[in-house]
Amino acid sequence: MLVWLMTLTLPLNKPVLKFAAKSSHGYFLEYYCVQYQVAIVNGPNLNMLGQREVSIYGCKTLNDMNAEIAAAAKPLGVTLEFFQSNSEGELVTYIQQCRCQLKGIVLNAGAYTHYSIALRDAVSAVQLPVVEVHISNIFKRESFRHISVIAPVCIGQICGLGACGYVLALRALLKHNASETPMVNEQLELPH
Amino acid sequence: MKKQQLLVISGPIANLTERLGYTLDVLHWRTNINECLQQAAVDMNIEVISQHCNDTATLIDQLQQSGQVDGILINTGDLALENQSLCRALRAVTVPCIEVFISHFSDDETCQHRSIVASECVGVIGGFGNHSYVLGLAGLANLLLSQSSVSRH
Repeated sequence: MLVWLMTLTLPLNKPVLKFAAKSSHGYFLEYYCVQYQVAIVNGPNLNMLGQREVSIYGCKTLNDMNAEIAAAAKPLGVTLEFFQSNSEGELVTYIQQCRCQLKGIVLNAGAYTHYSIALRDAVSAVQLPVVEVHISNIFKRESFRHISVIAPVCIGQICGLGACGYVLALRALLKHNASETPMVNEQLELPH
Repeated sequence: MKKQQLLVISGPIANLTERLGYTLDVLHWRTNINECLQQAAVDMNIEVISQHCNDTATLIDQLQQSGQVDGILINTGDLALENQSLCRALRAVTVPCIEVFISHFSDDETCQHRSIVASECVGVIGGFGNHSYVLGLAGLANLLLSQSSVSRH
């Protein structure tokens, strides 16, 4: 019988699931499975979700949305690290720190999408697959939002699908790194 | 419960995957799109009607005759960059529509962000190869589900 004992964190912040089981010979075996860790990074004003322009961004708060994404990620064996900042510098620093620590980043850079070359360079330097996400369809809005300076350094873009876009981005990251994630199950519950 | 019926329309280039695949991106074009879609349809328990065509008129006809379907996934290929007629046809469609791109449209610096079709769609997904279609189907199915749950309440 397989018993899930505990979740612990090893050096380099790589979380692993530790399983213990008794073999047919009575030996106590331990299994480690390195989890797939992804950062969900949100930029300026996304902390105001639920209060700000609800006709465009919906009435869900950032916490509501993160809870939905976390619920959808759980059956995939994906560990999520959520980060939000209004500061360009903090976002750059966080993305730099993701290097060698995580398997990918889902990034909604908010308005920085349209002009932050610093953020673009951080994404380019981090050498991780990054998927650009937007809650609203930026192409339906003002023309200055149609330009994304970070798009060329991301593997792809999803916009207009709300919280579901983040979950689809996770799925895209898993597919991108499919060879490294043999345990990933394609079944996925999407938030409504 | 009735299965969701989704129409997938692929414009120019998208039906030339085998011929153009090697010059564009061999990894992304390796798998046949229709096989991907049918497999995704089985996994998601939805019905997918897939159509390919190269000319604008046929694309517009397909959009105008799409009254019976619940949603549309469209890859207009190069027509996304210039075709106003297609935009107007999409504007007249009453079901939700998502635009997909196989390659990342931002890879091409000369025409990046020029999709005029995108503004007529609910959302846009691009850059994930054939998987863009699968993600688009999942997004569309989820959108329809959330709309039906809102209308029930």
